[in-house]
Amino acid sequence: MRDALDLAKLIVVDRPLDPVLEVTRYIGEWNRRFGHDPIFRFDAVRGSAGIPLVMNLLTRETLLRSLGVGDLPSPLRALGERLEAPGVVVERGSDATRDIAGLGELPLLHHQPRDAGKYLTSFIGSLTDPDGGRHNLGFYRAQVAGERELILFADARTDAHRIITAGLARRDSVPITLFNGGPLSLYLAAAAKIPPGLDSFEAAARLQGSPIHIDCGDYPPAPADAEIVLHGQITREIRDEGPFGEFKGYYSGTTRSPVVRIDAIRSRDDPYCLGLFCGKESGLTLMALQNEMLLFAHLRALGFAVRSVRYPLAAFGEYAAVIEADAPTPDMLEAAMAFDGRAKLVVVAHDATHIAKELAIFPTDSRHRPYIRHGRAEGQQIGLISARTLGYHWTEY
Amino acid sequence: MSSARGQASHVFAWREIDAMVALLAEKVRGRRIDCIAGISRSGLVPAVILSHLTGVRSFSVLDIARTTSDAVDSAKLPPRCRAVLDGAALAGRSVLVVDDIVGSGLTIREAGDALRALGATPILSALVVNQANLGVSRPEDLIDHWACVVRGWVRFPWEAGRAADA
Repeated sequence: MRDALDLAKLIVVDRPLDPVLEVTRYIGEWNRRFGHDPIFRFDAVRGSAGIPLVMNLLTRETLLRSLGVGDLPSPLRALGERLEAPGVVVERGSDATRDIAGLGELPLLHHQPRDAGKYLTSFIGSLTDPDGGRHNLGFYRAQVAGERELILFADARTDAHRIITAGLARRDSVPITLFNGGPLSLYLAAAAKIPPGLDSFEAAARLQGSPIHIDCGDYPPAPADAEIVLHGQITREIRDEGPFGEFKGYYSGTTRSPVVRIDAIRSRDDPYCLGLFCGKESGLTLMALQNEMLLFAHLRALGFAVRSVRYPLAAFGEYAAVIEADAPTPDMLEAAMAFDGRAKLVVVAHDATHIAKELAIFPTDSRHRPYIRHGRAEGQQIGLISARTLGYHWTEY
Repeated sequence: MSSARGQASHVFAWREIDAMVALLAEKVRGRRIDCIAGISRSGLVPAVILSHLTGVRSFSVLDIARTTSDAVDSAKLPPRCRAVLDGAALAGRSVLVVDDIVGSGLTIREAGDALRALGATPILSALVVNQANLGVSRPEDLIDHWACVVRGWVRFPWEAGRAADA
């Protein structure tokens, strides 16, 4: 994360802003007024013990440059190749040694008017799988319930839910580490559906192409250079969690989720806190990039000569995939649809930059099949292929 | 993107300039400002925009040469204030000094010294602070207000060779 900050244009807001709605309102007003979302550093979030809050850091450019592939002609190909090579994970002591009394000292935000409260949106949860000992990273909604209490929502379809359920069946609590900062490869690995059996920290080391340094102890690991680290126990106590403004623009319902008791909060001496505003470019980019990376690697592994894969942010980085290939084929389209059943629309074309022209001019074919959401058919997953089979030269004006 | 010295380089668009000047205006709101002074040349662009945004019509120019050419990584001269427009009229006045970028801080420091020598009270500001070259440990040890921090070289939209952008 420090590398990424060094590469960023940081807009510095030093006037005091309240963590309850005022920071997110400021970001929204900036976008409406100036038409873009810069990377912000809020230096004076009220009550936050002087820890600067960084918002909008996870842009495509920042992520790719931080991973060292930003200047390559095909960053996705580089990431796909890296994911196939072994990664190195090294243990060392944590830089986060300063004790923090409570969550109130962190610049945690109440994002949307109807949110149930403040949430940790950009802390990565680290769990250790009781079956096999692998480490699992993921993003989980964690509602602040007290100075040392969180309510943690993990979707029933996630590995985290399985690990927590299995752990609580064997003992009274499950240890968890929640960290903020560290290498951005961890953010990509935490957002990605990494290959089964692969340790999340090793996946991150593979993605960044260099060793990841982690701090291990009585709790699941955190990166040694994390800005802020929370250690705690997921308990059997269940409370209401939510609602929370979701990335698709509606509020989630209330869930019944386990309480996390925080045993320790530590930070570096000069910490930053990375925030994510749900549904905005930063979080969507993370989702889009991991989808692109995995689908690209999958298609290449099957032998398809795809040039690029994009998941447009306009479709929340998940629900539409646009694949470019010199020679699009129906097999390629079907393989993409089968791999990513969450994408409602999959388009394969020679040139996605001019997709409307491609579809208008060249023979078009389609595939469709039931779209499954939460285990039930809900409409159709649609695939379109534009087969540029003829020599063609655009008119030059 | 990297410069010849291996530092990251940052390209700014006009819409980012507009936004950063507006942020500077927000930061100086409530302070007494009798005059705005741009450091010639590049500080004049944000200074003029800021003058319009704040409604402070009294305007001055500090002529301080620093670089020997417009090339990236151009050699730098020791800054020397050669002239202050209407300098004699600034005595006793609070002057908001505006530059495009602060690196080592020598230029803005020279501007402050020149204004103090005229009996004015300078408030020092810049759109961007390049922390990679900063001559002090913290920007606040050098200037009063800034909008953006970077580590690396900066290209502004008014520089030669930049295409007109959004």
